[in-house]
This record gives sequence, structure tokens and C-alpha cells, in this order.
Amino acid sequence: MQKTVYGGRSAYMRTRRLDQLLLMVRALSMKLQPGVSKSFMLAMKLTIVFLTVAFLQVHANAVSQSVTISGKELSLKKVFSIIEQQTGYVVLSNKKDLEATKPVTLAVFDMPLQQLLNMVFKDQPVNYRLDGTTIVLSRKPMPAPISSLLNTAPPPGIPVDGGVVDSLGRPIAGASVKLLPGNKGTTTNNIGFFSIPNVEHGTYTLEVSFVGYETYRREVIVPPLGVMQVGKIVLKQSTANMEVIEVVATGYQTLPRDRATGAFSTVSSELLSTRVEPSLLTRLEGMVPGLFSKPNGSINLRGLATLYATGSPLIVVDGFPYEGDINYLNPDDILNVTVLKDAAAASIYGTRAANGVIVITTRLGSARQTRINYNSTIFINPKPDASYLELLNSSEVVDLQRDLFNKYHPGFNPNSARYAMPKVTEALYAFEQGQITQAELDATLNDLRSRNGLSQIEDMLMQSSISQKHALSISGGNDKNQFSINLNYIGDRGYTIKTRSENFNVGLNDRAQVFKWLTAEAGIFASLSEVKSAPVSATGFYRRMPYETLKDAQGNYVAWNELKSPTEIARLNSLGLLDESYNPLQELDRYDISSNNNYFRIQGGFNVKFTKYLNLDLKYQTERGSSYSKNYAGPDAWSTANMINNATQIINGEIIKNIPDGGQIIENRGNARSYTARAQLNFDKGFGRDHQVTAIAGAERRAIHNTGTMVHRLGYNDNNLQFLPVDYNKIANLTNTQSIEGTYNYRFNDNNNFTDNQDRYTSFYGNAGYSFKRKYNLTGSVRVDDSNLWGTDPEYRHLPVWSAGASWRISQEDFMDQFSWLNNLNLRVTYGSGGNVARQVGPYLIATSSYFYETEGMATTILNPPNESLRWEKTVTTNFGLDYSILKNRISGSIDYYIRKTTDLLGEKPTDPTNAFPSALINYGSLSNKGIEVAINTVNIRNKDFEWDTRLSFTKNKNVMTDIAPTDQSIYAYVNGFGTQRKGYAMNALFNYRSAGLDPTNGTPLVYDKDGKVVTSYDQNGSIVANLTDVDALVYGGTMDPTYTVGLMNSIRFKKFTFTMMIIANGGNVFRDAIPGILNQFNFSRNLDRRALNYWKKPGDEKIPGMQPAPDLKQTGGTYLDYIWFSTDANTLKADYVKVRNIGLSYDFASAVNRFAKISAANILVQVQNPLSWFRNDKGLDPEAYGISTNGAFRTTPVTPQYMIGLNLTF
Amino acid sequence: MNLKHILPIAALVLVTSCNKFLEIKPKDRIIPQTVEDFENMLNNGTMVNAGDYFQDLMTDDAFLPEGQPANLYTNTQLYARKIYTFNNAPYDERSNDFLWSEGYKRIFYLNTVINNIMTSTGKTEAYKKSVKAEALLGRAFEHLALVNVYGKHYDAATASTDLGIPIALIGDISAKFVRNTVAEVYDQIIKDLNEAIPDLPAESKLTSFRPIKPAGYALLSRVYLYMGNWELAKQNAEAALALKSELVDMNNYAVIVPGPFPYVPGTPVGWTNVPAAQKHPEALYARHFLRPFGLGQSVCASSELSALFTNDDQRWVLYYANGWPPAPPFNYWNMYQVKIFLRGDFYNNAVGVAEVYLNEAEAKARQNDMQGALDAVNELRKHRLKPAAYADKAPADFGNDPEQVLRFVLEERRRELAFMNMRHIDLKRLNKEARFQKTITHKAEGVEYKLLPNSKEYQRQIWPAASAFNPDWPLNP
Repeated sequence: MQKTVYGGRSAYMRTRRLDQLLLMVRALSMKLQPGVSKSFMLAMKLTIVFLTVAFLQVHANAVSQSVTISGKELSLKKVFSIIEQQTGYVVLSNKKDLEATKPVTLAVFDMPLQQLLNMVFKDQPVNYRLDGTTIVLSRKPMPAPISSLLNTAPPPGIPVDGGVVDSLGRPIAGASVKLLPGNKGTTTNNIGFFSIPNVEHGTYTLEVSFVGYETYRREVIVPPLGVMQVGKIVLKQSTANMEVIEVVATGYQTLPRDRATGAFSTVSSELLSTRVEPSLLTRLEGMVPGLFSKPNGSINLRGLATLYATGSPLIVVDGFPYEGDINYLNPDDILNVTVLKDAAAASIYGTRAANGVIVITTRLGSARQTRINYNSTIFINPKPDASYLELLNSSEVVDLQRDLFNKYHPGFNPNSARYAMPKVTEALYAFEQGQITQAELDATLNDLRSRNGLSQIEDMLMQSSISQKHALSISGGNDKNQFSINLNYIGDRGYTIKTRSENFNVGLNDRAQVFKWLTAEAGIFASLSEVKSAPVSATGFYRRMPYETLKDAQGNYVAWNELKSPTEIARLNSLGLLDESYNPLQELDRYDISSNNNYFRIQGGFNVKFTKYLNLDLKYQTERGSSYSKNYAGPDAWSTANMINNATQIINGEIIKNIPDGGQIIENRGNARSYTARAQLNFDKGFGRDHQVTAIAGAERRAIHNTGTMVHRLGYNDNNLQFLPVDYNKIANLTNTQSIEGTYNYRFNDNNNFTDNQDRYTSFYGNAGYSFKRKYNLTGSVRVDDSNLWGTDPEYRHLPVWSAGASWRISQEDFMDQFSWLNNLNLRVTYGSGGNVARQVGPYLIATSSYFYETEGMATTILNPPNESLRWEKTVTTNFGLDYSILKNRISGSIDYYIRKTTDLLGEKPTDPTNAFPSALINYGSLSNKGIEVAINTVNIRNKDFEWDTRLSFTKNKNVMTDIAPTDQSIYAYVNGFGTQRKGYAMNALFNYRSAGLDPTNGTPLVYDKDGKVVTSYDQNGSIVANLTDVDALVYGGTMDPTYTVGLMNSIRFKKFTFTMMIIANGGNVFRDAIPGILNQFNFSRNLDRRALNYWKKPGDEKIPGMQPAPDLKQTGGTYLDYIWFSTDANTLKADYVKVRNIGLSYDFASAVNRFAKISAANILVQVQNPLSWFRNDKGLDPEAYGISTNGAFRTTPVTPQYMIGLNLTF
Repeated sequence: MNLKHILPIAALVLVTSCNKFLEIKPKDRIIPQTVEDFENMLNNGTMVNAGDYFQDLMTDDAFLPEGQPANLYTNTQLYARKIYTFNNAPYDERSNDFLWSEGYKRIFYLNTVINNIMTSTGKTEAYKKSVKAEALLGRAFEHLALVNVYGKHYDAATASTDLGIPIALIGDISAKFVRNTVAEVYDQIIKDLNEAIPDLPAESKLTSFRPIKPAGYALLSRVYLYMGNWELAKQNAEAALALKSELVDMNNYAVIVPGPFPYVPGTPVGWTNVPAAQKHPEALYARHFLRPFGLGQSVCASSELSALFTNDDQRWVLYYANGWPPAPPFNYWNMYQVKIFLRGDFYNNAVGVAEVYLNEAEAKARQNDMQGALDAVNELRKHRLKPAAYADKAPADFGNDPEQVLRFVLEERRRELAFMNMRHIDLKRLNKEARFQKTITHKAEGVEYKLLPNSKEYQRQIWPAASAFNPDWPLNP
């Protein structure tokens, strides 16, 4: 029999324990190395055994794999619910099939799941199959002919062998295989293999069936001798009429969805895998109602409820808070993501969870079935389209600079002429000083006009950013042991040439049933990354003068006017100092800027079963991270030359270099450690048929310790690692140096320092749920955290967070039976309290100390003044939710409504400057967030060749500041670009002047006062005559934070092609147009929005739409002028936008390669990210490519479509 | 007991035993407890600054040339222009009135030391007292600087009703203050100084940023001089000089890198070897001017002040320069017969020996002790003028007229203390005497601005950022 591919049976002859440990080795090695010699295999096995044992000793994780059940006449539904609680396995079943089952009487203790299932299904009309953590039920076509195997006499005939897989190539265990006529048959084993013995010669119909799949039929002719190989049989999915019994994983426990009362959203790995972005958070966008994603990648749940504390949710991976970089996690290794949104979340995780929790469960050995998956994706980011920035070209800049210079410029000042000025201004001054002729000036300006620096930057300094990702994951196991191994590589390239990053990570998870009462788990995850950076950022040069070029027509480097003027540089050169000419392209090779990070997460745990309803989890996780960064500037690097020259003194003709020649290095080393240890008692017991009590109680301790060292060495040689001494006291305060200011200060402890931070927590928590008749559920939870939050008022350190909830499964009521179209209806409500403690501030004065060179002693600096009036920031959340499923589950989803009230809001706010500090953390107000979240999932069409699914998630949030302490009441505080907090308005509200156009006499902006009268702020000369200071004259413009977000995903499969499209819409907020500010620099040195050209020049111009105000080159207008131009209603735009976030097309070519038996699933995916967008404003201004300051806004590097192509193979 | 029981128990013990676990303290942050923790607050970067020189712009010492190319007025900050043109509300809520914000910040630090040092751990009681004394002196210095900018000048007749500044005696972020009267502020200053003096150290700790005992007497003599109490001003000046009276002969200092530099116009034209404030032998209590905008000399001596100097005066040689452009005819000297003031940021603007001599001289002159007054001034001039130009002055040189002697003393005071945040206070107090009243005229952008004697414009308006939080405070007119 040719079964070697799947491992010889001899393996099971070994001792049981060794067996468990060896299984993963075997599965791996036999698969990968079918031909290697036995002795080599043994050596390899032993090595891995030792490794595995070592892991087990260090630590453990996840859901239990064996089940304890006892009871008489238990319905299968009940059995499944117990299985779900104890193992986390979800049951997928046709309702009718389930109803047809007979009750069973069980008394099993700690029985492996599959063994139990085999027992339960023994005499049932349905069969089962394990698919990952899903138990799929199907009706048995006929009684299983297992008895035929018991015949002792060797019957005639030959074996018929084959394998059954799903369309992704995953083996299907437990599928029913029959040969008709004759009813000879069997079921497939763990690895999808079947062998029907003793089949007599003849023609049969092979029938393979399994729940959730279409029945497969094929004619086979069985020969008289040998072995009949029918090969791999692929079953097609048919998921009509399935009821999904979902579970929710909170990280501390796994609950059946129907017993949870909180607001949870679960995203499965299937859904995650419809997108290929390497970042998990990006993939979650649009899939979770209530989740707001910001363009910078930050996220928040249900709006912001805090100003001071971080607004992002807590991330939990495999039950433990995660301190690493979320991008280290490969989304393909994630089994599911559960987002906890309401008070039930906070009360489980304590104060850290005030902003919600994202619980990530990574894929553990998908139990029993060996699966090897390889995934490769290429990402291409074309160079950003700089035309989005609407910048001036060289010719326009030259003309504008010339015109402004002619309009006004200060007299030539040899001092300020030492600083670099724009080349146009420099030439104009030279002409004015008589140093060049008119013809020379014209020639210079014409030359500058003809240059195209932007295209040179794109050509010489930029590359298309290309990333590639390769992932290999292997999982498998048996009843006693499951494992998974993941290997990932991500290589990335930045826009600037010579920049790249690489990340390699490995994950290994193992779970073993050591004794009947003891389960052990271990997981290790390691991520190694390297980044190579450049001293310049190509996209950062977009706003440079467009006539600054990298190379001239002859190919020579062109010096940019950077910091010091060409004459000043020439002066320094003539003195024999270093050359400070600056050219970004030249600088690239003069630096070595790189960093690397290593991150390790090790988890281990045991589950000890005391009785069938009481068990204890002991878990431990530690994270270790180290980082190293090197910033080396070579001896001829611009920054090195600049620093050395600035510190150089020339006394009596002698050049004294106070900073030695040679390179310079800043090295930064960091070390991060954390651990969490947890002991948790789990209780789950039914009382009679109707009562079920679940409870957990636990204690946790957690420590995070980060240290760092930074050194800066001067006169450093990177080849021999030597550096030169410097006199720190001297260079701390040098006078009479060659810097433009004539002085130089170097603070030795700015770049030479040690850091050390430690946070420690202990926590006690518990929660309990009571379920009556599986229809009515009550839950409650409480948690108390204590920590070394030092300096904080002890009164608030122990405040418990708590929650209570209830749910009613209406669809389970008898009276609902009449509504056969209604599959599920569940009403939930929770209420709870949580909040933030003001960390690091409180009733004590907190200070730090460092050496201060002027006083020549250690100096204590006050970081936080004592503040006894601080209170706990408290958030109370009420959540109402409804889960529904109708029309045979064709339409399902949930609706949640929440009210989240935050009182004693903490904020860094201006305070009376007579109290020393201009701002302090105070309790300064309260706010409320109310919102509604809707999830609708529909199966629009489902048939053999055509499927169409739609998922819609909609979130609406209304945020109101309900109270606010009086702070800065000046008009500037209202109109600043970042928004303001005002009672009765949403957080980050924008207030605007009402624009009254431009003053026909001088071109300055006019505004209306509160009575609608035009306020003339500037006189004929553009000098201030009166400021509008009355805030009543302002109008409310809206909030800057989005109030709604929509994600719409459509997935259409036609035969082997699947098309997916995610559309995102965000809005309800406003933003200010990125208009150019008032021209107030005759020698502006950064490129401007092209609307700047269109400025008021003469009376009458104000009538032209879009006219910019007159320049204020003498800068007499003050900041008020900036504000009444920028902060007006006319300049405020609606920020709504819709983007097609991605479009993907995948092709399943598994069948094409099916004959190469080892590949069971294969598809290729093409995806484009951000291909289309629509903005509500008519300026083409993308709120995702937009930046803001207090009195201005600007366009940032545009969002560029990203193209991806991926290959996915499963063996 | 089998493994099944031992394992969980062991682990439970591990997780829940946490006696010491939470008691760690961060290494980079401290809750000050020891004497050093508090004492080191006096070494803080905040504590090396004092006042702001902008107030000097309103005086008859200051001249800001405008227009091109000598554009000191044109280029200076808006609020400096406002002060120069006698606008007494130069700061709005958005701009930082550094005198107020930094002054009260220093008071916060000093209050933290004063209120905690005695209960802190380590060192001897005597040492703690000496640190407290240093802080008390610092607090008196700050209150005195503030009250003389925002309040009316001390007048015994009205001081108990004239509004001064808030006296801050506690370091608490939520404290509410009132505008105390000028009398209350002066009382507090005197109380602090009297409490400090016995415990002040004889030698500076670290550098002269840390005061010594004569600084206490010197400051007290300044306070009494401002109050018009000549006897106590004299006594305290003498007490200070009894402890430290050495002046440095400025003939020993020179321009070591002669200016004007071809490429460093405007900014320091020539580097001297005059020691920085904290190292200066004459410093009793050193402070720099706050330099919120970096180094930069941006005021000329008015022609009136320039006329008071000769090239025989080392102060003129070392502290003033022709200014840029270096070449005639455009430099300040050639255009206006004035020089740009360069002494600037590195020098001591707090308390030094020279001022004590001047306090003593003025007090004695006002008490008709002409010889005593001239002895003090002679001692100072001897260390300031070139030897060839120096001659002792005697009462006879002034026709034995005490008023002439007093005017001579005041003239010397003006020369010595120019641009040290002192002249505007001297103008305020001298304006109270009819014989010294003076109208100051500044011109800018074609407009002539006048500051009349005892004008309300002498009182800077309370910074709106502070009054916004204290709507109950009466504002200055």
C-alpha cells in the first residue's frame, strides 16, 4: 500500500508521549523530505524533540482540545455548546440535520474532541467533518459500513485508495465515500485519505459526500489486481442552509456568540484574506462597524472619548496585551479578530481598554489536517503624482519672486546675506548691488526658469516603491498535539533611492495533551527586521524651489542654497574650512543610516482540570525586543561640515577646530522586556436542563521594562571604530566661532543618554454569566488594577471597572416558530464603567534631573507640578444591540446603539501663567459619544458557478462636549486650524470668521462682525487698525473628525474567478482648504500652491473669484491677518469622501494543476489599492493627503494607487 | 501531592505574591525628597535668567534706528516696537510676556524649594537653611522686578492702595492669587530678604548664579533706595560692601578678537575677555537676561546716553560698538553718533558690587554726605576709566552743591547700569521728584512718541493671558 506519503503506521507504535511530540516532526519531515535516509531522519527528529521539550518547560496558550461532558439524553445542540465552550470549536450545520439527531447519553472525562465526536455521531443520521476549528455536520447518506472492515477472512478484491480535499486543497476528514452499487464504503481519515478494501473487479459509481459540499459522483472501473488509485477528489462547497454557531473570543475566554451580551465584531480569516495588504489594521478597515481608520494608520473605536490619553484600542494577541509593532503580525497567520467595543471590553481588560480592545487569535495547528500554504505577493507603489500638490513651476516661481522683490525688499544686509536665500533673490540683490549686469541677471533668471528640479528629483532621487511578501505556513497535528509553523518575509523599498527595509519572522505554536488533566501549550514568535534609510527624503523635496536641480546639463552636481549662502560657503572655503555645499544626491552616499529590530514573544501555559466543570489556566507570556539604530555621517557629509565649521574659532589666524574632523555617529540601542503571568479559574456548569453558569476569576501580574542607550561620537572613523576626544565643557558655550551667529553650543547630554522605564501592574478580575433556557443571559464583570503608577493619587489607583449585561434570544422563543424566515434574533444590552487615571501626574511634584552646563551642576527640572484637584476620567457606556439573521441566513448582521459618556475629561489645557506653567493636565470637561453601528451581510446569489456576497458596515457617531472648564477664550483659540473644544459642540470644532471678501482699497481680507457689518481691519498701508476680537462674530463650521464611516464590500465569484471590491466612505466633518497663506515673504523659500499667483494687485481685482489677498511683505498684518484669511467660512470645505479602497480579482487554478497531486489549491490574485476616489469638495483636495497647522493647511504627498499581485498555493 | 496540585499552587503563588512588585520607582523621574533634589532646582536653566531687556526700550537710554540699512526698529519684534513707542499693552494673549511667564515660573521653583527644603532628607539643618535663604533671596528679586514693571512706583503715601502684582508664596498649580498692593509686595520682599540674610552662604555654591550673603544686603539696599528710605539703603549698602567690596579694574579687560568682523555685522562686533555673569568677580547674584530669541544685540545707546561716555571709559570701549555696516559712512556711529549696545546676554543683570557703590553714593548724596557719596563713586570710576583719564572727584568740583553731587551720582548710575532693566525703574522713581522729571521722546515711522513724567504708560499692562484666568483682577489704566 502506498501510504508512505502520509506517514507510516509504525509511528503509532512508539510511546504515547513521544508520539505527541514527534507527530509534528513527522508530518513535516515526511512531507518535506520524503527521500532522505532514515538515520538522518532520526537525528532530525531527536533535535526537534529536544527543542520542543525545551519550549514546554519554559512556558504555554489557547483553547482546550479535549472535552468533558456528562449527562443523560443530551441534545446534540447541547453537546455542541459544551464543545464550543471547552474547545472553541464552532459548529456549522443544516438546521434540519441537527433536528434529526438523537439525544445522547454521555459520561466522558477529558476525551479528545475527535474521539468524542466519533462517539456522538456513531448512531446518528448525520456525519461530521472538522475544518479548522469548525465542526461541519452533514446527513449521512447511509449507515456507515464500518462493519465491513471487521471481516476476518481475507476477502477477494483490491483496495481503492484516494484523497478528498476542498477547493482550497485542504483535506476533508470524515467525508463519506461509497461505491455503488454494493454500498462498500468508508470515511476519510484525518488527512482526507480513504481506502476501501477488497473491492471486486467491476464498474462502480464512486460517490463522495460531505456536509456543506456538493456530492461528487464519478464512474470508476476497478481492476482485478493491484491497487486502484482514484487520486485527489475535490469537493465543491455548497453553503446554502447553513447555520453558523459563532463564538467570540475575548482573550480571557471563548464564549458562544449567543451567550455574549456585549458588542463584539468578529472578522474571520476568510474575510481578512480577501485583501492582501501586509498590515492587519489596513485590512480591518471597513469591516468592523464602529472602527474609524485615519489616513496615518491610527484607528479609534466609536469616536474619541479622551483627549489626553491615547485614543487607540488595546491590542491583544493570543490572550495577552501586545507591546510589539502590530505590523510584525502577518495577517495570513491570524485565525480571527474580535473587536470588543463596549463596557464589557473595558471591564475585562481594565483601564487600558477604555478605547476598546482588538483581540487577535493567531492560527494554531488547524488540528489534525496537515496543511502547507505558500503565499507570495508583490506590491508596487508608483511614484506619487506630484501634480496633486498644485505647485508653481520654475518659471512661475522666478516671476513671482522677482515681482515680490520689486514690490518690496529690505536693503541689502551683508549679515543676512550670509544665510542662504533663494537663487532668484540672490541674483536680484547682486544686481542691485551692482555686482552683475542686467544682462547677467536676465541670463540667470532665464536659466532658473528653464530648470525642472521636480522631474530631476523624480528621475534621480526616487524609485518606485516595491515590496514583496513571502509567507509559508505549515500546520497539522492529531488529537493529542497540534502545531503550526509560520515563516514570513517582507521586503520593502521606499520612494527615496537606496532605502529599503526587510522583515523576517517565524512563529511556532504547539499544543499538547500531556495527561488527561493537563494540557500544555507553547508558542514562540520571532521577528527580525532591518531598515536602511537615507539622509534625505525625496518626497520632502517636492516643496523646494523647482529651479533647484540635482545636476546641470553637463552632469555636474549643482549646489542647493541650503542654510548658508554661496558667498558664505566660499568665505569658509577660503579660510580653509570644510565645504558646506549641499546637494541631496551627493549626500546620499555620505551617510549610513540603518536600524534593526529583533522582537520575540514567547508564550506558554497549562490548563489543569480539577473536575469536569472547574479548571485552572496558568499562562505566561514574555516579550523581548532589542533595537539598534546607527546614524553615521561621513567626514564630508554636509551635516558634519556644518557642525565642525560652526564650532571652529579662528584666533590670531590660527584655526581651532573645537569639533574634530572626521565622521560622526549617533548610535541608539534599546531593549524592551515585558512579561505577563496569569492564573485563572474557569467554571462552567449546567444545573438541570435550564440553567447554565459560567464564571472566571483570575489574577494577573504584568511588567514592562524598557531601557535605552544613546551615544554620539565625534571624529569617528567607521572603518576602525575609533573616535576622538572633545572638550564638552568648552563646546557647550563657544563664542567667536565661524557660525553665522558667531556662537556655538553643543549639549553633550542631548545625544548621549540612558533611558529606563518600568511599568508594573497587578490585576484581579472576574466575570460571570448565567444562562436560562439558553434564551435569557445575564453577564457581569469586574476588574481592579493596581500598578506602580507612581505619583498618581492612590485614591484612584484601585478604582474597579465593571460591567453588566443581558441578552434575550428572541428567536428561540416558541412564539417565534411561526416566523420561519427568521433564523436568529438576539437582543443585547450592556452597561458599564471604565476610565483613565492621569498617569504620571497627581498630587506629587514630579521632576527629573540632568547636568546643566551653565550652572555647572545637576539641575532639577519640574516635569509636573503637584495637582491635587485631578480626578479619574470616567467613561460610562450603555450599549443596545440586536443580532439578526433572516431568510435562511441569506441576510444577517447586527445593529448596535451606544451612549458613551465621559466625565472629568482629562486634558492638557492652558492654565493661569501666574502659576508657573502655561498648561497643565486638568479635568476640564465632559463629553458624550452616541452612535449607531450597522452590519449587514447578504448572500445575494449563490449557485454553482455564480456567487455574490455583500457586506456593509456603517457607523455614525455624534460627539458633543457637554461641559468644559473655562480655558483660553481668545478668538485665536476658536479659529485655530486644529479645532477647538466648546461646550455644546463636537470635539475639535472649527469656528470661522465670516468672510466679506477683499477690501477694494488695499486687498486685505474683510470679515463680518456679529451684526453683519463689514469690519475693516487694515488701513491703506496694510497696517492694523482694528482686530475683530468678538467671538460672537464667528460661525460654527463643523467638526474636524469624521462622524460617519461606511465600508461596503462586494465579493462576486464566477466559476474560478472571484472579484472583490471594498468601498470606503468617510465624512460628516469639515476641513479648511489648503489655500496659500498671505504672501508675506518677498524671499519665500518653499514652493507655494499655484493659487498664490493670483493675488490682489489693484482695486477691482477683489471682484475676481478666487482672488488671493494683497501681499503683506512688510509683515505689518500680524497673525490676525493670517487667520482672517485662512479661518473663514468661505475657506471651509466638506470633508466627505468615497474611495474604492481596493479591487481584487483572483483566479483559482487549482484544477488546472490538479494532476500534480501535491498541489491542492492554487490561486492568483491581482489587486489595486485606492484606484478611484471622489471628494465632496470641488478643489480635488483629498482629506487623506492633507496637513494642517494652526493658521494654514497644505497638501501632502498624494495617496497613490498601489498594485499587488499575489500567488497562493496550498499543498 | 502529585503534580496536578503542586503545579497550580506554585504558579498561583508566583502570580499573586506581590509585596515588593509594585514598589519600584522610575529612574528618570523623581518625587523630590532629598536636599539635593530641591537644591538642584536652583541650578535649573530657568533660574539663570532674569527679567527682560525690552522694558529698557522705553527709556531715554534706548534708540532704535529705523529704515534701511540700519534698521533696528524695523527688524525688531512687534512688542518691542510697541514698548519703544510707549504702548503699555505690548503683549496680547497669544504672545508671550516672558517677564510674567518666566518670572512666575522661577517663583514657582523658588517656592518649591522654600516650602520643602526644611523637611527634605540629608545634609545638616544649617545647610538646608542656607539653601532656603538662597531661594528666599531669589523670590524677593523676582517680586521686585515684577512689581516695578506692572505696578506704580513705591510711594509711601499710596503704596497701600496702589495695585502691584500677585505675591506667589506657594507652588500649586491650582492656586488662585490676587493683585497685592505695592506696599504688600514690598513688605514681602523685605521680609524674605531679612529672613534670608542670616543664612546666606559666604561663598557661592557652584557659580555666582547661587547668591552670597552680600547679595542679600545689596538687594535690600536697592529696595530701600526705591522706597526712598536713604538711611536703610545706605546701611545695607555698607553692610554688603563690608562683606565684599572688590571691583575689577576694567582696564584689565580688552577686546580679544577685535571687531568689527567683516562677516559678523550687527551681532557681537568684537569679543572681549570680560567673564560671563556667573564667573564675574563683581557678581553677588548672577542672572542673564532671558534670551528667548537667541543672541542678538538690537538696541543702540541713545545719543543722550552716548554723549555721557568718552573713549576713556572702558565700559564704552568694551560694551558698545560702531555697528554695521562696518565701513563708514553707514554705521551707527557715523550716521547718528550713537553706538550699538553689545554687553548683552552673557553679562550679569541681577546684583553686583558696582550697584552697591551707586546705592551707597546716592543715599549719602541725598543725606548731604557729599564726600561719602563721591568716595563711593570714585571707587567705581577708578575701576572703569582709563588711568590717564581718571581723577578723584571732590565736593569742591561740584561747588559743594549736594544736588550737583547727586546728579553726578545718578549720571554714573545711568552709565554703569544701562540696559540692565534698571533705568525704567530709576525714571519712574525720579519722576516723583519735580527736579528730575523728564519727558522721553522716541521717533518711529515719522511719528514722535512722548512719555510724560508719571505717565500711566510706565506701568505695563497685566498680561492678558494671566488676566483671562483672573477676571476679578483690576487692570492697569
